[in-house]
Amino acid sequence: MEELNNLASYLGVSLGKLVLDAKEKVPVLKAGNGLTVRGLVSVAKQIVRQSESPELKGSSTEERAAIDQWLEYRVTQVDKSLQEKDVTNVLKETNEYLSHHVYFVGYQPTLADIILYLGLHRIFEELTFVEKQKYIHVCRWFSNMQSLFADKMSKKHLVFQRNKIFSGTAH
Amino acid sequence: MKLYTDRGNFNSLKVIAALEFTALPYSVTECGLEDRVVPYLSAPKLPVLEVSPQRFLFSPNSATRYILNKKSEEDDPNIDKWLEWESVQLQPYVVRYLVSVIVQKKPDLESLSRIQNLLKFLNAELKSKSLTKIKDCAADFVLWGSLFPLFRGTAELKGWESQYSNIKSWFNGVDSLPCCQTAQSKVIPQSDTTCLKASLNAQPLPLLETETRSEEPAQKPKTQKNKMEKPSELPPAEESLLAKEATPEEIQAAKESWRAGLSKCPKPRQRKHPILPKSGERNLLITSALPYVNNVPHLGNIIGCVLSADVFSRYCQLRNYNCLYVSGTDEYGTATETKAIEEGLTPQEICDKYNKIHTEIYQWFNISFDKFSRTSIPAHTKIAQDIFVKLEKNGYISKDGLEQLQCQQCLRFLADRFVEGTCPLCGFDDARGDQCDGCGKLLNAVDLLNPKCKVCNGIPQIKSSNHLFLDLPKVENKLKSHLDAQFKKGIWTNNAKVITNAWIRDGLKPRCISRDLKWGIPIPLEGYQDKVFYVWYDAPIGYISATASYTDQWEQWWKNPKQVELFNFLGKDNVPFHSVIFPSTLLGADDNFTVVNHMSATEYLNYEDTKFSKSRGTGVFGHQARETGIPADIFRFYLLYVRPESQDSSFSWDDLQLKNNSELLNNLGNFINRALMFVSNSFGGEIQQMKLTEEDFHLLALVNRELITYIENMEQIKLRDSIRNILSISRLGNQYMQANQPWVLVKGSEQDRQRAGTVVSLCANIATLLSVLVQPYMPAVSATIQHQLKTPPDCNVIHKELVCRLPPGHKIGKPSPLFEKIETSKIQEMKKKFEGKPAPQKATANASSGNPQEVQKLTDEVAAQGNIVRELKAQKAEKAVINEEVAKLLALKKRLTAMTGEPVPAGGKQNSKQAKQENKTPVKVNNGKEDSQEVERLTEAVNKQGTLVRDLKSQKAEKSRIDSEVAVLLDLKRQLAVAQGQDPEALTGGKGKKGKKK
Repeated sequence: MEELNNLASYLGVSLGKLVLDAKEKVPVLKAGNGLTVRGLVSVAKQIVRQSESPELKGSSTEERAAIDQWLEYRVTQVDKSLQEKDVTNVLKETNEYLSHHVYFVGYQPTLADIILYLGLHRIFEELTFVEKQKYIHVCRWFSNMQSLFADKMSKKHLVFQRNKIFSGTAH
Repeated sequence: MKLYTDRGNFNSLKVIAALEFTALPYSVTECGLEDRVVPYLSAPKLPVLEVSPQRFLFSPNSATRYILNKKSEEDDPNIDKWLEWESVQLQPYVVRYLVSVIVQKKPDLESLSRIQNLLKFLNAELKSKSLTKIKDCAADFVLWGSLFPLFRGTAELKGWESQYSNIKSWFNGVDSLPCCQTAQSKVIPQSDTTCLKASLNAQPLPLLETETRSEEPAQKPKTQKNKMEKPSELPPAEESLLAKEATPEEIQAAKESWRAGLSKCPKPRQRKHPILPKSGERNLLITSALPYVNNVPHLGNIIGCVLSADVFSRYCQLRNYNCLYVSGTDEYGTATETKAIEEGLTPQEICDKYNKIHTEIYQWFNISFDKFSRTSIPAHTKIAQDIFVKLEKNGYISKDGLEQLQCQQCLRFLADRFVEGTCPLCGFDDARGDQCDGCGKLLNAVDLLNPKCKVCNGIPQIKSSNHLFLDLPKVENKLKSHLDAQFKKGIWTNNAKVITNAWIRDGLKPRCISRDLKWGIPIPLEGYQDKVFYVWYDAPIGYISATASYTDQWEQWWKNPKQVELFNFLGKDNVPFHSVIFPSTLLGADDNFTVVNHMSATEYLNYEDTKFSKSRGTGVFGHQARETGIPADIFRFYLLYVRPESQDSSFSWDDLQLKNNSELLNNLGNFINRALMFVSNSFGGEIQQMKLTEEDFHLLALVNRELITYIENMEQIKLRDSIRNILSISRLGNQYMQANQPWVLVKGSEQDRQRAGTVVSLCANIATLLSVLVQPYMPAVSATIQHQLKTPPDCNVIHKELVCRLPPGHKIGKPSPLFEKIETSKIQEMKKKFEGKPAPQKATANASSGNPQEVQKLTDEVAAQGNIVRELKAQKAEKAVINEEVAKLLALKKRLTAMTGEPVPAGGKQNSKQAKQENKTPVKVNNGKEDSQEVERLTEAVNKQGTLVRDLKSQKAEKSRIDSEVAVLLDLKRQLAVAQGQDPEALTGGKGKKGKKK
């Protein structure tokens, strides 16, 4: 909820009525014209649609699909990873993916980056420096995103080490 | 497009249906159940659509939509909604239900009831008989595919058609499409869903939202704490260093050196002052950049030069090199002059005061200068003038009239650092007079666009004045050939080379070395006696004068380039002055000076994730380190561990805690203490006969390997890497103890007991080696270890192999723990203490809401001071007196603005408007009485409006409303300022103070 409000104010979109479905714990947006959007991803996409930042949507059909899939990843994987092994899995996968990518999709930040940044924040808050070094690629991305979005999204800045500070061996 | 799927995966239904529907060309690759197609996913998740080589869509929903969009693009929020609903809510239960029915043959009733609820919802939403306005869209195929196994075959929900009539008509509509028929026949032939079994079994279960979620946060801090404290968390502990191979040669070498004992090992050299170069030896002259006197150095400054140089100097001493380490405070220049005026002291008094602060800080940090000097000593003046005379004589000084900025309000020539404006090269707004922080290029203040006096914000004018220049182009060839040779031979950090090369590549220009100031070295040249040297001309000469104040035979160091190697330690911002200007000065003087051979420039150290900031109180400054109660050696160790050697790094309290507790306490301290306790408790504190086995020599070989790397790293001034070698040696020691278990052996047979004696005595000798290796980093800790071991004084030398320093029969002292654990509570306290104010505006906003009286009081004071100034002006009082009162007024106003917490806009656009207002002011100023009434009226209005704004803010009123009220307030303030005869811009105060020197 808060994320969506922050996203809307960041993009300068005045939201219609945004409420939380008490039973399903799903945000619901009454966007006017009888349009009701349910779900974090759908509302976020709707906000971008109303904003003047089309670059967040991706620039081709393929990019849009890739953004969709990472948005889905957020709600099906990241948000549902509560046990340590699932969290580790998410970190591993994103780290592996980002070892070859600067952003999740394309060559500039998209909605996928914003939404994953917001979603991963709670996980990164818990990481020790040892773990941060282990997942160095996703941490690099996260640190990048935080410099772009943390203040605008009222997210706490997390500390990242820019040096390798742990090493198992000296050689 | 290529679709990868395993056989009988129901999630492929939707994708194939979409592919068939669009009739786009595609191929299907059937995978085994365990095949991983997408390299970055950990589970063998299928189906996957390969859009183009190595670009995958692993979400079947996104893939389906993508395929359809290729044919005709849509961006419908309703489709978003249904796809999200399917993936988040429906899919997890559908899969669970199918697994329970088809694989386990025991229906999961929980999932079933969830599905029933979801279908109820879908049925209600389908009143209009279609999901979205678009016919046959992604939502249709996606839901159809997921629901198919629930509506057909063995897992069919009984009676769904009658229960959900809306779903029925929609589903059958989609189901009858030819594309869906094809997809079915490909994935689930004859609608026999039992064929899904293998795939269901192999595919990862989608995650579920768990109910415990809300309770989660309460438990989290606990688990995190455990994590921090569990030593098993640390990867180094898990890795066996002992298991590493050593070559036969290494083992042989270890044997030989152990047997040879002390015979080949040099004795430490006694350092007798004064230390002078000796022919035939390595003579190292080590300098650390002179800290500027009127800043209290922060941890970043300390690691940047003095501490790094100290470690290197201590290391060189342990290697028996003939070395001298000098530094001092840099005291001349405008900044000191201004500071003196601020504090009402003479510049000399200011320097005395701050030099003392510096000295005390470095003493606490245990920095062992051979000489810590100052630039305000007579010897310095003499040497700087001598060098100048030589430069002049050799024709390297040119004279020129210089266009200089003179502030009309402050009535003085403005030093570079007191001018701000737009960079002419890159357009950066906040460029300083001497350097642009945007592009890093050096500037001449007169070239700035829109220059402004930093003190009063007035617009300075260009006036001409005669000045002296160091003719850099003329020295360029000499400089280049010197640098080329040194770059090859010497040790230069990459940044030092890059910055220097960039400077030379951009072309050297004559550089002005005189200034219109009082506090500096007078220029010994006819016609220029009222000027002084530019501080960057004389500062590096401080190294020479420091040596001169150490010994009168300083020329042996400084006019001896053949025998002396000069090492400069500095922060990267000082590189050009040390690599271009100072060498040019010395080469130009042409008096056989020793010119820099090696340069170690550090990057910046940040504090947590932000910068050290004096004005905000963020970060630890030199004098505060002592107050933390954490020993200086711990700071030294940690600063060196994170030394910004090749890139910026940061000081982090959490990390300091981790390093202290894991590396120092659990690794180094633990090993030494364990070894010593054993010798003390089981063998009466006496070192035993050591009969070394092959295993022991293997250990020695590995220790020697670390030792050699330690030396190599140190020689290359890689101070950070050498720490790792030390820690590896103690880690080896710990693992050696663990492997041999002397606590078991000591209770065994006589032979076992002897073996235990060998093991712990060898460990005591390794501890001796460690005490020497840590000495450059932690001198006090080293002394404590040596005291506990009662090591012979001769051991303080670094030899490339471990030798037996503590012979059998040697009695050690009383062991005690070397390090203390740092608790999390302490770290929290430190973090809070040094966090500083979050940001200037915020902090003042808080202050304002609490103190309306304070604001009133200040406002009154401002008004009163305003009157004084106006009266003085009316009486045509002396300029100096007026200026003093104006300064007071400005200070008061600054405080007032800070307190009311209103951000006062500063910007180019308003300037013209304000300039007009300014023109009107003189008229008003002359009408004293009317004016003061006006001021009063306005002051009151400002106060009232200020209260209103604060109230609105505290009530969290609408932003637009607050904004408009703030605008009114600002306007009032501007009017007030004008009425008081002040430049309204002055209200904005100085921009954030730059921490840079000069």
